[in-house]
Amino acid sequence: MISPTVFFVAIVSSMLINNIVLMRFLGVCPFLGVSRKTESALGMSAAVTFVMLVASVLTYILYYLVLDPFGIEYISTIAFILVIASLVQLVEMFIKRFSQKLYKMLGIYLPLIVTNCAILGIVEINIRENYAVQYGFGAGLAVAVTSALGAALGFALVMFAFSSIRERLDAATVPESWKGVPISLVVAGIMALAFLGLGGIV
Amino acid sequence: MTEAIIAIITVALIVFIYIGSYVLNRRVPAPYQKVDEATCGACSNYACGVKQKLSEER
Amino acid sequence: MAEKKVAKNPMKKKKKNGRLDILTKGFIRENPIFIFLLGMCPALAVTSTMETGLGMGLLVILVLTGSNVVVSLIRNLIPEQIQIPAFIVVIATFVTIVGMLTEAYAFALHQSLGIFIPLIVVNCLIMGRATSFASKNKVSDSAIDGFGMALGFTFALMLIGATREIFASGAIALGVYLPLPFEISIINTEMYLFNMDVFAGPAGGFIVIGVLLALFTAIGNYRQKKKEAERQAWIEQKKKEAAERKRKKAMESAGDAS
Repeated sequence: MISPTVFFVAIVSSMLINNIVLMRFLGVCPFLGVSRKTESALGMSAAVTFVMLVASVLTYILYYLVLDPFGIEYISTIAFILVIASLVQLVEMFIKRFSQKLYKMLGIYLPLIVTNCAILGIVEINIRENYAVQYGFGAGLAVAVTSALGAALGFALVMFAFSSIRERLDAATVPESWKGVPISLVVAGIMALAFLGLGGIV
Repeated sequence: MTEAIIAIITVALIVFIYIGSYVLNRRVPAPYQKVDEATCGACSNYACGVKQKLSEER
Repeated sequence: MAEKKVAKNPMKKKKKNGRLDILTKGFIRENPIFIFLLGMCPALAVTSTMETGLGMGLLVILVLTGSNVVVSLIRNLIPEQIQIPAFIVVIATFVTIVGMLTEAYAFALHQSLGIFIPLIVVNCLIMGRATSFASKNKVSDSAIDGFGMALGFTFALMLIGATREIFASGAIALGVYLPLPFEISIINTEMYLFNMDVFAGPAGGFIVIGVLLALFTAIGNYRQKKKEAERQAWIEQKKKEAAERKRKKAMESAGDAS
């Protein structure tokens, strides 16, 4: 059995130290696009968290049960993007059918997720980290899901913080050509500087 | 050779699943809610069907 | 005479949709990164040096041209219902091919780009061009459009990369990642005395893109204002001419009456 520290390290490392937005530059599009209001930032984060967890389970199983044993890893890019895309379609369909409330919360953000590089990026990173080789198939899956959860939490954290800052930026007097995205990018850079200070914890 | 066949079959299978789920999802009507049309029009996301539906309604 | 020169018809300046226009619009006017904010993830991640930006740009040129051609070829065979899934498969295939080619012939580039090669699939630029241009236009036009847009993307990546590399190391290296027969550093400046490593890191990426974006917005605003002023001047002149004509006519008719 692997020790619980592995999971703790996986969460902290993928949430804070290798933050998915500010350190790995994945999911910058929703970070800039859907962060104007705190409410929408949280909705997007929830949708990303859910899809990321399920997608990392599915792709891990697909990779180690089908692609790896037959030696056809080279189609992993096609397979992963298609799995993610169909997963999003299925989830959207179920939510439409069975839960109006959830659809109201997440409905707009689900289709945006297919083009979100965060999901495909985390899936690829999980495969490249070789968790299955390090810990065995089952435990490797647990570690992969844990680090995906950490990444999603990191995404939510940064989205929330950034949307709060942006709500204030809207009220600030900014030079005309800096309004909107340019000043937000500079703010994101300063946030990245702050996150740089977390390096070396683990 | 068998590897290539398995690869093709796998991809074909996933593509089939994707197309199936895509078409099914399109058929389920969305419980509509208020969408900010200006934000939606400015967004360049291809996978989002809301924009298309909005323009069809108009 | 001089007045007429200033106030020419701004409507007439609008170019027709010629081949050259399709090719060059991606550079400034419709630059994917600076105007449309498409593909920000690679723009931040692979531009710590100019050369990796250039390498990424070359890959995107291959993928976008190829996928545009294929999408344009099959545009009449695919029912509208399943257009997007079909496009995703086409793009993913091209990305896989390009990834394999890079691994074989430019291994250093493959290593330094890392997961951003498979992530070309989710680059909004490529899917955007497929749905908005290639699925509606001829094969030749689509190929030119894909090439031009990707060239604009490459230009933006290189601009960002060059800025970051100069601030971080004071020089721009070539031949480290790309399989070139030489390894040189161009544009050596004295900046290495004060090199700022932060520009090679994530924070520098965000800040440099922010500043460049503000610059582009400022240029865009300036141009728009100029155009607006030109248009106003033109309208003013037309009004004046119309008034003149009216007066002349009135005088003529008055002359006839008398």
